[in-house]
Amino acid sequence: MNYFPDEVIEHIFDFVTKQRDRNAVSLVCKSWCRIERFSRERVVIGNCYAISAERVIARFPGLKSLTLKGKPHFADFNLVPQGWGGSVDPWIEALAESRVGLEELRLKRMVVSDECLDLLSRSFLNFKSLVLVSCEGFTTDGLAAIAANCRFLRELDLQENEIDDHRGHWLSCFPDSCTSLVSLNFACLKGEINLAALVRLVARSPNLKVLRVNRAVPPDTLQKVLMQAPQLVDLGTGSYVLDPDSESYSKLKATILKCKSIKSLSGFLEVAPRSLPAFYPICLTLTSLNLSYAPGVHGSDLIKLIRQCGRLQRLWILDCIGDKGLAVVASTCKELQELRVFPSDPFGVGHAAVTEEGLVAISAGCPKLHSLLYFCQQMTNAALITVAKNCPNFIRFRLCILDPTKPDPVTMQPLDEGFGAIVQACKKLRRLSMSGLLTDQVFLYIGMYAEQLEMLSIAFAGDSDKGMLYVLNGCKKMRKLEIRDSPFGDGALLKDVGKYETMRSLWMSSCEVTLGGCKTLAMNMPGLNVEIINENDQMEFIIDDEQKVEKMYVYRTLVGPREDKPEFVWTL
Amino acid sequence: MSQPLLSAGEEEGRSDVTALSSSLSMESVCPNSSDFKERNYMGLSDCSSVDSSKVSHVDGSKSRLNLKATELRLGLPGSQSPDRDSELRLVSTELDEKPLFPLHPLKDSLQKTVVSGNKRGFSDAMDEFSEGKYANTEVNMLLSPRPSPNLGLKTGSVLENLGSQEPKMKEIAPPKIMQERPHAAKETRPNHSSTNSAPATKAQVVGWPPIRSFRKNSLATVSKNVEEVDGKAGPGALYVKVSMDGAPYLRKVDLKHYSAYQELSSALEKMFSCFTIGQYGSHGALGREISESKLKDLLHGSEYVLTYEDKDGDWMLVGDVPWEMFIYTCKRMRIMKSSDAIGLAPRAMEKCRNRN
Repeated sequence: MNYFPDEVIEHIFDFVTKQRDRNAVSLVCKSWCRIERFSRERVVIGNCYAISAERVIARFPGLKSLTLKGKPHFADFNLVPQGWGGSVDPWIEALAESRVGLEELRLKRMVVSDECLDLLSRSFLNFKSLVLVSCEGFTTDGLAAIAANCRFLRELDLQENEIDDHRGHWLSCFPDSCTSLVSLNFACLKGEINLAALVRLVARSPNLKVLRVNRAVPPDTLQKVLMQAPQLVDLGTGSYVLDPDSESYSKLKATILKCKSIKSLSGFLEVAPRSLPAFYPICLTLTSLNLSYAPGVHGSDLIKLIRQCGRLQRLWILDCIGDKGLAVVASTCKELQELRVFPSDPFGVGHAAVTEEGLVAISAGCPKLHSLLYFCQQMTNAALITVAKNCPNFIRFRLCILDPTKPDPVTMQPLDEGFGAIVQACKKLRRLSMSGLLTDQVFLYIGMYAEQLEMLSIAFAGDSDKGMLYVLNGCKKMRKLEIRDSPFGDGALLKDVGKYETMRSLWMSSCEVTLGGCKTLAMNMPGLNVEIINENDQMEFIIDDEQKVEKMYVYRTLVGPREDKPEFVWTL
Repeated sequence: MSQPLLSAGEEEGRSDVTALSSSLSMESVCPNSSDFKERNYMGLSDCSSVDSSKVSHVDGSKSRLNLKATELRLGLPGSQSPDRDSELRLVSTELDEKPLFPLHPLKDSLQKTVVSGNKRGFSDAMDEFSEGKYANTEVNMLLSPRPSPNLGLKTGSVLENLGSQEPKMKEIAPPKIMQERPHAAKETRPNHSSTNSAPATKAQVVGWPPIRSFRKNSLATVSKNVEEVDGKAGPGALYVKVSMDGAPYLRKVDLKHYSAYQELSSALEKMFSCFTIGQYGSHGALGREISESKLKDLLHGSEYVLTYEDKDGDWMLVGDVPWEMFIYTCKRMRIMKSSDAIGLAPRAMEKCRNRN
């Protein structure tokens, strides 16, 4: 079948980079599969329980970069109890025993232990990059091992992890010979660090492009660091509390002027707003700005800053910016592609919240917008329809109304029509999260129009099984469906059980699904793991199939039920 | 490869809902009847106030009329004033139920999931929370998962919240509801008359709003600006619990509200005065001044010591660190009896002695 020698085909495959394409390529014929698998360097495993480490290693011996995701998405919101699973240890152990020359490990929502970080650091000579997002289970001791042992470490990127900070001197564990750092992000660490060690480390890292420090790093140290690294492209400040009339401030301001390459700015974990102007000079070239952790900055200060940022493509901000602030964003940031507006006061009365007005303004001013995460007080159908018309390019649209079943406050209608307009207009929509008052109708629209939809998050929505069925039937590309507190039951669950093998996972919590329904599903689909999470003590009482299941997580897998289940998780 | 596994489940499902809800109601309100029999919704038992849930696949309208007022839902029977409800129902039944569970009678079989006592949607559940705190403990207990095996597995996230978050609710409820009422009055919701407290209770639902815990925790513990924020309650109010030894319930204060220890101290004095004065009941008759000075003695003097738990989990004496640092590190406070403050004894006793 092959007209070319293997080396030529392999070379051609080098240009095929996306995992999906490579997967497709490997289905063509046996020899292509063979060639592809030996040349594959990057593997993304979207669900660590769908396959075993051994099988991955066996198939891709040339593996250099592994991405793993563990817990289901709703674990981010405390819906998955501690101890559920998602440990990366078996993977590291298997990799360490093999001949794989791992260079990059990226983990999301997994449990990582210090022991396995230590093992990781000692097992792979060429290890270059560790990226941990939303992980937990480790301490700064593990980081110390990575720092000490990975001689060619280029990237250590810790995003929003729960790390037990032993306040040790992990930063000092980077040997003096370590000069290869390109990216260092420890913003999520809560403890003190050795400031002098940080400055020295930056000084000997000429390739450093990304540096995001934590709250323990004061402005003085920031200034010293910037002096050593004017080549930075991505800066995350730590605590930014200083008096604009002080000498430290002038010094910092002067130093910032030298940093002409900064494109991305974040941090401000504590901030004195009157000192923000020091950053105005770099605002002109900023493409990414994240102020979503900056507490208590008034809308007016935010607006002044943003007025400087004409080239912004990504903006993460708190809702204290207000609708007025968003209007300024709309008029200033014409290149905006991604916007996230987080609630500054999630349980409060909502003084500083944004409403549909802000979103409409943004949509009118930023036609390139394709990714949105928006927490707001309220939303109207009219606004959503306008947004859909203005921005037909949405790929990700996540709307969260703080009061999850709130109807359109003007018409008191459900938001079906609004979301319907979004899915109809945005033909490239891949991810959608909805909130507000929603009936089965919105799901009908989704099923009909959202052809590219891969991930859907539903909460407190729908009236009947029909809703879920519309989605399951209509969205051919659905991969992840997560539902909470909605009245979907066995009828919807069991209508087309084969569908779940075409998806990565299904999560249903506080719905109408019964134990009997789950059992039926499990019985008919051996290729799925049907896991029930039971947090109550009355396990003994649960013999009755009629009982509703509190939390159900279904995912396709090639390796059967997992062995590391805690006692509150059952696989049916 | 769609397999119509629906039919098998369906029949059972229906009766399941019936049995579940009726047994629910039976359990909770009519202790006499001990078996969980399938009930005819229309045929009410001896306990006339009992009724099954608003399961509507039997004659919906009638059930709405009779049963609405007395149904046992996630909340408590009578937790909303029944008269108001039934009147409203007559008029606005469609509107009421439509958003969450359309109680259209004679829906097709798929509608069986419409209602059971458990699954009622967010706002209903939230209202029940707020009402719940006024209900008697007896009924509260009946709602807990334990007595009824049928409820074993499916407690509903909301119900879980009721159990696990009641203490939280107690603290938040009084001040919050006061604040929320005017605000909430604008937000009329179609299905419930007593939605006034809904905004106050939105904090109670697990995992809502959907923000990563890391971010939520950061917002909660973040320190405020060094510079002054203008008077109104800006974003990120810093509420911490304050307990007092011997008091039946805790309070919450917004640390951002104060700018110095003295202010906090006086506010706490006022807040907890009812307890301390209560202990010295008969003094009430002697007039305010005496009580207040006695109170000052109590709080500033030898009786009580104000302590707080910091980020590391250690119990510290209030007043040692600068105010800003205190707000930043304080997680909760406790007004401790000096006799208990053994660990803090040397300094506390000394301070007390000095004051006295």
